[in-house]
Amino acid sequence: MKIYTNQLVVFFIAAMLFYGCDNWIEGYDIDPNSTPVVSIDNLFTASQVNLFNFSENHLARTVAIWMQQMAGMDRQYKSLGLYSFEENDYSSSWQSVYINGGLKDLIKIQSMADEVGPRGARYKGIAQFMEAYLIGMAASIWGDIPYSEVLNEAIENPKLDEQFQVYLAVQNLLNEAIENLSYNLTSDTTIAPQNDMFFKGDKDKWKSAANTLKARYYMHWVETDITYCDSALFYSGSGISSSEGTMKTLHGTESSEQNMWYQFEQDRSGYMVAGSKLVQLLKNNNDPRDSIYYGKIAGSINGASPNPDDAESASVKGKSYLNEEYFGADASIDIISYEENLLIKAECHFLKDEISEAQQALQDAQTAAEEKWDFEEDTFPEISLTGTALINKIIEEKYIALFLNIELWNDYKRNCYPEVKYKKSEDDDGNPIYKYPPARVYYPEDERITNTSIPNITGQPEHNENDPEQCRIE
Amino acid sequence: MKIPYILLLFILSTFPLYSQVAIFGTVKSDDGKKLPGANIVLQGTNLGVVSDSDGNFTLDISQENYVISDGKLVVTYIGYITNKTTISDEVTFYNIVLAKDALDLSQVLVTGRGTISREALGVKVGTVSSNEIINSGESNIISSLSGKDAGIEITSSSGEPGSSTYIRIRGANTIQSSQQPLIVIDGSPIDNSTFGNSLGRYGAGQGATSTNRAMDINPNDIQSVEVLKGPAAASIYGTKAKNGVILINTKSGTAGENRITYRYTASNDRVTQQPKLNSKYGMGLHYGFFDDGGCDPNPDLSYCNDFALSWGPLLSSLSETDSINGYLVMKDTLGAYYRNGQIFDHTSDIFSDGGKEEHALTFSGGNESTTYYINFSKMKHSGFFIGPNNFYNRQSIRLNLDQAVDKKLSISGKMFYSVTDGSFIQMGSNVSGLLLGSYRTPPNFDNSVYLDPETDYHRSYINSSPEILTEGHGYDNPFYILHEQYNLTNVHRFIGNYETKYTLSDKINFLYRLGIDYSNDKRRYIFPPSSSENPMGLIDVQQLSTQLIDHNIQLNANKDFGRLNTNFTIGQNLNGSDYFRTGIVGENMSSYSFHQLNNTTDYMPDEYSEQIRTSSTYFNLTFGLDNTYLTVGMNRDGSSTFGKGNRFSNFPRASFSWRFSDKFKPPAVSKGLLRVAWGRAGSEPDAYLTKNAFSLSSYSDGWGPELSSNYNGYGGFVSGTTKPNPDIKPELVTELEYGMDLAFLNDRLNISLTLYKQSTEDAILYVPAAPTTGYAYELRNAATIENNGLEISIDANLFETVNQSFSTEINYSHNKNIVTSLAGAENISIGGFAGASAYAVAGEPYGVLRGNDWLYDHHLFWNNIDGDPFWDPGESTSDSAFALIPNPNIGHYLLDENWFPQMNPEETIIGDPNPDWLGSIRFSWNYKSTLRISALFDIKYGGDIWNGTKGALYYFGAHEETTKQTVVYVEGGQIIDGIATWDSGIKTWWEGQDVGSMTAADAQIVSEANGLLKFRGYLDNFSMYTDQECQEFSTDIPCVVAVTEEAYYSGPFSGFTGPASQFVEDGSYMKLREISMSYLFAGDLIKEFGVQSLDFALTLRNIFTWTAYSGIDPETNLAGTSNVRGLDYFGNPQARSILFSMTVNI
Repeated sequence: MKIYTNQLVVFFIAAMLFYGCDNWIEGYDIDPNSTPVVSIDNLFTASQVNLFNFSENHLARTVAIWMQQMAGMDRQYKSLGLYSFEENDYSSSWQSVYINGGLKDLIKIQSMADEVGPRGARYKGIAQFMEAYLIGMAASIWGDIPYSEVLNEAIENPKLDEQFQVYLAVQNLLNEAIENLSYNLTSDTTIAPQNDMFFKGDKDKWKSAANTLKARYYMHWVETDITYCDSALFYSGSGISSSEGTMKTLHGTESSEQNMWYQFEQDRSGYMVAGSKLVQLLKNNNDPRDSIYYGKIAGSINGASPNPDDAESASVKGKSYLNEEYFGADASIDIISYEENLLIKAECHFLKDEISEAQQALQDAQTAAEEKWDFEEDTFPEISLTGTALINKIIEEKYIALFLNIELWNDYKRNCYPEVKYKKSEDDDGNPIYKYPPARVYYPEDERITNTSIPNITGQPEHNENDPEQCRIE
Repeated sequence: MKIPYILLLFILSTFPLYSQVAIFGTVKSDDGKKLPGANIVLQGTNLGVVSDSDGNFTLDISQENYVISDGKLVVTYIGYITNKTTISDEVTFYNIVLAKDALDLSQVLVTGRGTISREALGVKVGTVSSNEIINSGESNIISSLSGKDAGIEITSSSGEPGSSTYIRIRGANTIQSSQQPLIVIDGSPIDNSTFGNSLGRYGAGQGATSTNRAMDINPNDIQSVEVLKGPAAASIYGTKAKNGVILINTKSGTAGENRITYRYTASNDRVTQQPKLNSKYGMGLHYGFFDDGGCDPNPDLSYCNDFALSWGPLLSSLSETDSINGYLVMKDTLGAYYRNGQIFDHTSDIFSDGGKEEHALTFSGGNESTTYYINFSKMKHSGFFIGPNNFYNRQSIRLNLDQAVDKKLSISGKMFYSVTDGSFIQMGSNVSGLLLGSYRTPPNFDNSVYLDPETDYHRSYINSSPEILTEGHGYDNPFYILHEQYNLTNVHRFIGNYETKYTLSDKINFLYRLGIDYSNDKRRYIFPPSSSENPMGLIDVQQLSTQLIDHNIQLNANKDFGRLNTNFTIGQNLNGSDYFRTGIVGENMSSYSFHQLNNTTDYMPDEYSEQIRTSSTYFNLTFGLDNTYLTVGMNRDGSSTFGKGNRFSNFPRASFSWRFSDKFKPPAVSKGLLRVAWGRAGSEPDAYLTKNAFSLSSYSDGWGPELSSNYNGYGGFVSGTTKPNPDIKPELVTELEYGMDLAFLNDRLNISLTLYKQSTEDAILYVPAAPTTGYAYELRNAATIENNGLEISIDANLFETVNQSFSTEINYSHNKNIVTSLAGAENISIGGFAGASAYAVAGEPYGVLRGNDWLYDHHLFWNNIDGDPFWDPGESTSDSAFALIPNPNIGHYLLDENWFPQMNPEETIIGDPNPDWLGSIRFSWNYKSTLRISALFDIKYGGDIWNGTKGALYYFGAHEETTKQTVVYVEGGQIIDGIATWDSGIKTWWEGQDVGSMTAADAQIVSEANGLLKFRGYLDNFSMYTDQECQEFSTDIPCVVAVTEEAYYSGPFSGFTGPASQFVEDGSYMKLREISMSYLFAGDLIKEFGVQSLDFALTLRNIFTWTAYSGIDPETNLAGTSNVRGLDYFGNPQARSILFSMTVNI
């Protein structure tokens, strides 16, 4: 009995020490809630939604408020309306550029497209276009940004590349994109993405959009050197040539696919209403786009402004929001439009003193607007303006036509239109001290505290290299 | 000692074969007190009885059992040394006297990982008895522990039946993982999660409350609760034990007579403390009245934000035909609901009496080999809100069976099944939350008519004449919330436990235990159309299930080497937990009352599952020499959540205890024990963080709009944004605990003193990563935390006679917590609000609140611009070395040019929610073992609470403190406020306008006549000078300012527009947690009716609270069981109850 007991005990202890049931915990490290394998289409869908988000989120609302197409009226949006912002306000846009369907996944799409060989050229070109869009726009917002050293496991602190270098790289990338989009096997058998929510895989439309984007990015440097207009004109020549070519977001009525401008009003009504600047401009011009853009309250369209100088419209009481018919749950917002392409031409022709071409381009842009909104022909008068009146009209038309488009901020930084300063206080002699929209926002705190290459707020410039003259003209 | 077989045979032969012999006796204490309820068991069998109210017992013994027992009767009673009495056939009456054991040292602790003598543990283990749990009247086992032991912090998230309760033992020892202890029932861990859901409709800070899963347990079934407070005690549970362990033992039957017990409980609940609201001023702004005609509605919402406030007219000054600013007072289409002069108290109109009713029927008993315990309980608990949607019902059955198969083998099976139904109310920071909608309603609006009589649509004060079904109202009418919104949960829970014990010899035994815990929670959240959170209407149907399997096998051996006893336990534990959730959210409801998904048109599915496996091999070795013990042990634990190659870690422990009173006794000391224990425990990371994967993404920027990456009929995935870390190690907590247990005055006074030092290393953190490296977060072992504390328990039986006793129990604990390092990060957010959030900040206690504070003047030098000796605003802007005059204003508010204080735009630490100390005192009086009266006071001293509710109510003009009126006399530009006369204007917040020049159109004026000016607000002086000093140094404007309505809703004096720090208050309280009185009838009178005993008890719970906190009951936590503490933002309030119970024993 005693021997038997001892054997059993020894066996038991040995079993525990040596066997230990380590297998019990094996095989549970694969997350059932995510997938280790994705298709190129999966990544592409998310990357497109990421782009919709980038074009319509807080950054877009900020631009619309600063440009006074909309008015920030309540709580934090009131201070936004008074041109204040916080370091972390645009961190979700920053993330959209690099992760969450941004650069990281776009690069993955490109390498997956490469694996397919030549047939992947179209897919690759589209992904390169999207990369160029995000990186170029990021460079327009933040100036110097990390690009050459990003997404590299070995580099913990990706350095800032100069804004100009980033634009050069982006222009090159767009060249490659155009090349890939032009790639023609004997009979075109390049793979057209089934889930292309912009152009249904139409590579010509993508190519035109890429050309307009190139033109846009050259425009971003016209303030430093007017000869960039030559390139802008060159590329706009092969740019978007009809309304069908306009690249825009896609939405549906389901709650996870609704237009973010619409969702914002559902969630935070009263934070933001129609901006009196654009409302007044449209009214003064008898421009019927006022009732396209904005909703009516008791039969009229009313805009507000948080500016203290503009006290009569300082309440949200009775103020309009967007017109639900055109800017409702499933409405699309333009990202790069036919009108933009025309108005880039108009502006550059004017700057190159090619007045009749400028007039024609402006005329075409207005015709495009007439067609777009189904107005009667010649709703807008024939353009015969010249000189300052003409350029003002071109800039004004772009301000109207690129409604809710984040590109407006770049136009503002170049042309300082519209005039949106307000009187903040007075100096000792009683002269007014004005406040203007910022020319740049801070790098997000998330990046600053984790990447030693990012300077502190105080070490960051107030304006970017492509915007040498801040809009502070009295 | 063994009886020789020969002698045994001799004794046996004197018993008639297979016959029964009855023995009788009484059990008394060594001071002559009868001991009712003592356990008398024949050694080695399940045969036993419990002494009656006079301490008497009768026991029938068969010959066979007599043999098994070696002729020994084992008598146990809590607090007394176990007595073994030898019985013989010649004596049938036994007078058993138990000696008091002041320190409970003889008892053993069944930890579920072996059995160990309490003394050998080397730590102080808190014990809470069945009576203490039952008498507390709480339905939640966790809540019933409050005030029962030192070092335990318990907070109920609200007084709603079924709401979750937070428990934290010995301070915060982690940054981002859970702080809730492991709960073990009958040796097997159970789930105590509090699940929110993926959509935040149930969860911290918003949504409806949710239940912590331990609430499924029926307190009637509990025999005792033991609390292993820190790793020094709990290390045997390895990776799961860093927060301590709560060991719950359920009741078992006792052999002998079958007993039937019926217990009935009924309670009445009422709401406790609430803030005081404005009862004077109506809806509106600038003293103007809300009026449909004066406010062009927003096309989407048809109401105006401007008028959502209570800065309107003084109601008592109005008559029905009055008009203000051209608008009639009673302009609402339902005029009657703006009743002139009638005031509705929105702190009371939504409440009524709640209460519970519970029936518990117990059968127990058995024979020498089999005992059983069966309990059926049914509880219905309705909350204190009006309306049908606020209840928590629980039905449960428990069956515990113990079978002694033979002398060597015993098995037991325990099964528990419960069904709970809960219905909860939306609360917190949520536009469909109850108190947010209720408290902010102006006092002249009657919320009770919540449906429009014409359209039958939801009406609220902001939208009193709704015309569209699917429009939000800004904030919901609380009556609509209480009647039309549903947040339902239906939980089926099974907890089973099988155990078998095989005694190989008197030195060696094996134990095998298998525990299973399964729950299935069906939830349904309904926001009918027009709910402000979901105006289109939303139905969210979720199903959550958890499954825990715990397998435990162990061997225990003991051997004596002369005076040295050794005990060795080795065992293995395998544990598997599975969590699974599926749900569908349907949107766009077409009618109020149809609550199925079929009433919606848009659907969003949700699925999540998680499986974790842990494995543990452990041993414990105890050496005992006289009453000195040394124990060493080690766990080798692994978890599937670690990377391959890193899955296992070792958790060692050691303890030592010495009963020094055996060697020498200091004067007056009757017993003394010194103990020291050291141990390490840990926690594992979340599942699935060791590998890269692609997942769905949701795009949002924090403002509400959201897009899903599954889009337009296509599936969309993105690369994971948390950087996988296969090298992650367990979060480790190491604890050193030491202390002393002393008994004085013949054990009448017992003092237990414990000191501990806990250090957390490698705390697991989601550290923000640079998005440019490809990730938003990175999982790292990063932080270190320290907790040092002191716990004192005093138990004094100072007055004791044969008939009565009076005793006092005191618990005190103090914990000092500091986050020592955060791997370089300055601070890490734990959660909270835009106004105030909880953070881990290096060098500060865990969970400090950060937010905006006032701007203070830190300039060292005074730039004395005007050269007068009087500092005034605008003059302290220089740190220049050229301005060498010391700044007189240093440390004071940095005032703006109108002498108002300003908000510091940078966030700083504004509060610490950790209490300085916790304490409790219980007084008990016991008369003749029949009448028992006890009172328990619970104290929390220190610990800040951000009264965000008050901050918001200030903005709305809905708090009583915003209704102050001030009268000043204006004459020739002078302002006379009754005390002083001011030469020039006192500034208001509104563009620095002078009080004297305010007119009715400026809104702040309540009345104006003959130079007397009465305004809503008050005069205050924020400067470093007294009013008199201000007068003496004549400056441009006086330093007194007028705080008027603008200063609240657009100036610095509200929670939305001003610093959060002004709403941080001390959350100290003392509560009369329980008063209970019970009377036991056990005489012959009732025995004639076949009733053994009858017990009546009355308990008053949370009946008084003494606190300076001005919000709801300071025992509040909006964030439920999350790690965020000290936030008060329209959370549902607490309850106080009166409970009556009756127990019949047959």
